[in-house]
Amino acid sequence: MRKSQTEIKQEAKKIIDEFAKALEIVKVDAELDSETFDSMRTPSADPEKGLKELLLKNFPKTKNGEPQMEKKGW
Amino acid sequence: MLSKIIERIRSGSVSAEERIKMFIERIELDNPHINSVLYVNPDTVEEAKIVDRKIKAGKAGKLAGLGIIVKPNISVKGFPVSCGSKVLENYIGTFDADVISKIKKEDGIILGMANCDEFASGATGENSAFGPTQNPAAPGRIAGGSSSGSAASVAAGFCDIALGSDTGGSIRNPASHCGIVGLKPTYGLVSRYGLIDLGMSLDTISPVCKDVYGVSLMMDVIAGASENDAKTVPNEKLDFQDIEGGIKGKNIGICPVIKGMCSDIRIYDAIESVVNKMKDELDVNLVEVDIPYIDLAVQTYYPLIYVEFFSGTRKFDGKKYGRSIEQFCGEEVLRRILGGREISRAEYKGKYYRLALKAKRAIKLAIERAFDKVDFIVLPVTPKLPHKLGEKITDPRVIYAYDAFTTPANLAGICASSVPVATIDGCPVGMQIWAKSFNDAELLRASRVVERLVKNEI
Repeated sequence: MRKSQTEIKQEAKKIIDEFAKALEIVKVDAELDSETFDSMRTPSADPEKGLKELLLKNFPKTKNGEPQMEKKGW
Repeated sequence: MLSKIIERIRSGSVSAEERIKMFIERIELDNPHINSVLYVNPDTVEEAKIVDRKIKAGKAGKLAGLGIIVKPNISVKGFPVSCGSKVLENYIGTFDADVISKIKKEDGIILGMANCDEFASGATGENSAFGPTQNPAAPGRIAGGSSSGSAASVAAGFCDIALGSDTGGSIRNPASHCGIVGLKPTYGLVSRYGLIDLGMSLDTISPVCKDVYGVSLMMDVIAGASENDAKTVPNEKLDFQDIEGGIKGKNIGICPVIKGMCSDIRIYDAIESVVNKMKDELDVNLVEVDIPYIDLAVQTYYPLIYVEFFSGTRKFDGKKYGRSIEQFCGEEVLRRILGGREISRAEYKGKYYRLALKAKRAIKLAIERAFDKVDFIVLPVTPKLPHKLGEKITDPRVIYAYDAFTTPANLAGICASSVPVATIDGCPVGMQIWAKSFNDAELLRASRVVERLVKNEI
């Protein structure tokens, strides 16, 4: 017989509160960037290398700072 | 040793058909008591006959004639992929996971699907909707989890090798309790395509076998990049076939703080005894390493798992797959879902999840720094012996404590093995060995040395 959902939720809340309190003492050298620190790419690889050039290459041609409509290109 | 069995199969002194029939007989006889197998493939003998023809023609793969049992959170086409849950009780796999395709290509015979803790949520094997798994190596005790059925099936002699998954210790824990060898590969070495996720940033598909050779053989087959899993990388430089290379001159790390974390000090003493034997009989150096925050691994792991599990289970709403998970799951699964939902709420942003990510980063850095000084780190697999089946444990944190020594390796993404080294009160005890990411082959060489040392083969 499963405990009630309310009871299980209270248990879960108690656990995560207790665990969070324990983690308050943790300090890391650098401020965390949660989006990148787990990357499996090799440290030497620069994922943004060439990205700017690639974006500019694909960007529509401009005239006086305004994008030009491409005709018959597509 | 599995290598001898393979020789006999290749030489024709034992056929694949005979071996598979033997496994099926054992399962029929003992599984009603052990409960480690949920499903047996009815076509297995016919598949074995095909493999026998390939062996005779000299065209058989690396796993020819070997019986494999698979954790039911790994998709096998046409087999029930229940995740040990009533939620997916009638769900049949529609495709082969990458690892299954690779096993079939090498003529491994998929005997059936194992039991496991529901949705891989547990460390005891007691959370399955289809009943708990007995420990064949320590009758009356839990088999460990969550890959309870995979480990118990190997220990009971129901198969040659089994596949499980390890997100926080789910292969090393039952391997230790059942007295067999288990490996959690480096995150990214084995494709997760076809694995029903528990925590996608930590999940690994992992093998168990009675010896290091079998684990190495399976890794040789399943490791490597897959276009289906963007996290995987190629493994051309990893030589899983050379496990006898030894570890001469290597630095072995021991972390003194672990001793105080062992609730059963006899386990630490058993590991220390093996470490001293390594020092005396092998040309290795023992080095003490400090790993700050290792004592907070459980507190770091569970908030992350709660959130990822909550996210991963949103697809089980009863519309496309099986039944509604919240309605039909057990207590531990519901606890993780409700806890994950709580953490995910906007008002808690920064209070739980980001805090846990920060701690994960700190533990990962601490382990990486320890590896600046050593090649391997050794420690127990669990801080206590497997408890008796049916023992009423109402506080989930008592169960979570089983994961204290295994979760750090998952948080750091490194590889880790479990090798049986002792017996206490009739319960097998495993030694855990860690190595740097993508040093899995070296790790298995170290595991092989420990295996030989314990058996007095050195």
